[in-house]
Amino acid sequence: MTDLIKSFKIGGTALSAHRMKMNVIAQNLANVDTTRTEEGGPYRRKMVVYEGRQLEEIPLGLQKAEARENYDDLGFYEMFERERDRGGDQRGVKVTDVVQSQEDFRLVYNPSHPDADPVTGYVAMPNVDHLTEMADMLVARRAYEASITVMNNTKAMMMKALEIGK
Amino acid sequence: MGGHRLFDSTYNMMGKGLDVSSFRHSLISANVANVDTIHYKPRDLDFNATLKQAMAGPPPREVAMTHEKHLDAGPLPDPIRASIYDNADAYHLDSVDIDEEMSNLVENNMKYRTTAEMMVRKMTILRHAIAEGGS
Repeated sequence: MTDLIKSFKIGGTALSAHRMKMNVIAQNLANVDTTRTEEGGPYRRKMVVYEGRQLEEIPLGLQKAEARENYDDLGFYEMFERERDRGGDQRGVKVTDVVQSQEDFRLVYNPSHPDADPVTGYVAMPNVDHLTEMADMLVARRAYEASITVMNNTKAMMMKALEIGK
Repeated sequence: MGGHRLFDSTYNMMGKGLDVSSFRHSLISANVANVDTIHYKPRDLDFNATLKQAMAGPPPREVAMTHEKHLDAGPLPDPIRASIYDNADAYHLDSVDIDEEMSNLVENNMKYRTTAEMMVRKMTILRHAIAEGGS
């Protein structure tokens, strides 16, 4: 049952990470025409960086010592138990960073715009591309749905386990 | 239903089966959670390879040569191993195959529930025996 609870936790990390991505995408889309930001200049597109994160930190020395052990003469279950004791490297996911895109700004000719270059008449617009954002949004949504499915499966397995001995 | 104990080795085996399934489930959920993580290596229990080797029969080192004219058993096969395998070419964005993970998820889920159901039915038999064939 502890493995199943761990699965729930992993699913939870995935849900929050992808929700975070969704927030960033919404922010990008909302700022598609923003030419003034606090840092100055037009809005820069933001992206999230994911990282696999161990649920519980396991001392590295122990991991190395275990990895050196000879598994050859073990049966499947002994082997399995050892892998599980080791933590088995189940990783949740975490947004570790939100980075700004360094792509060039879109230049739009619009001399009447207050932020237009007085000489050329071009306005630097945010480097947000609708198509990219939409595609990213689909990816985030699908990943979110997949994690929901995983959690539903976990729940079904738990319910089944509860039937034992009923 | 052999043995003198209330719970025979079948319960034991099924319990282990549930353990393996639930552990595998947590590995699959980690893979799905990291579907969009660059540099993530998907993991799974490599049970099929182990099973195949186990089904191939006992290792020939068990064969004793009691006569000098006996034939040699040949080279030893690889030892049985069951480990979490790392997908080899995993260092790019699409390292997690979501279709594969989802089908593994369903398969593993069904396996778990089937084992649990078998356990439920064993329990029913046990209860039947305790009630001396009554309800």
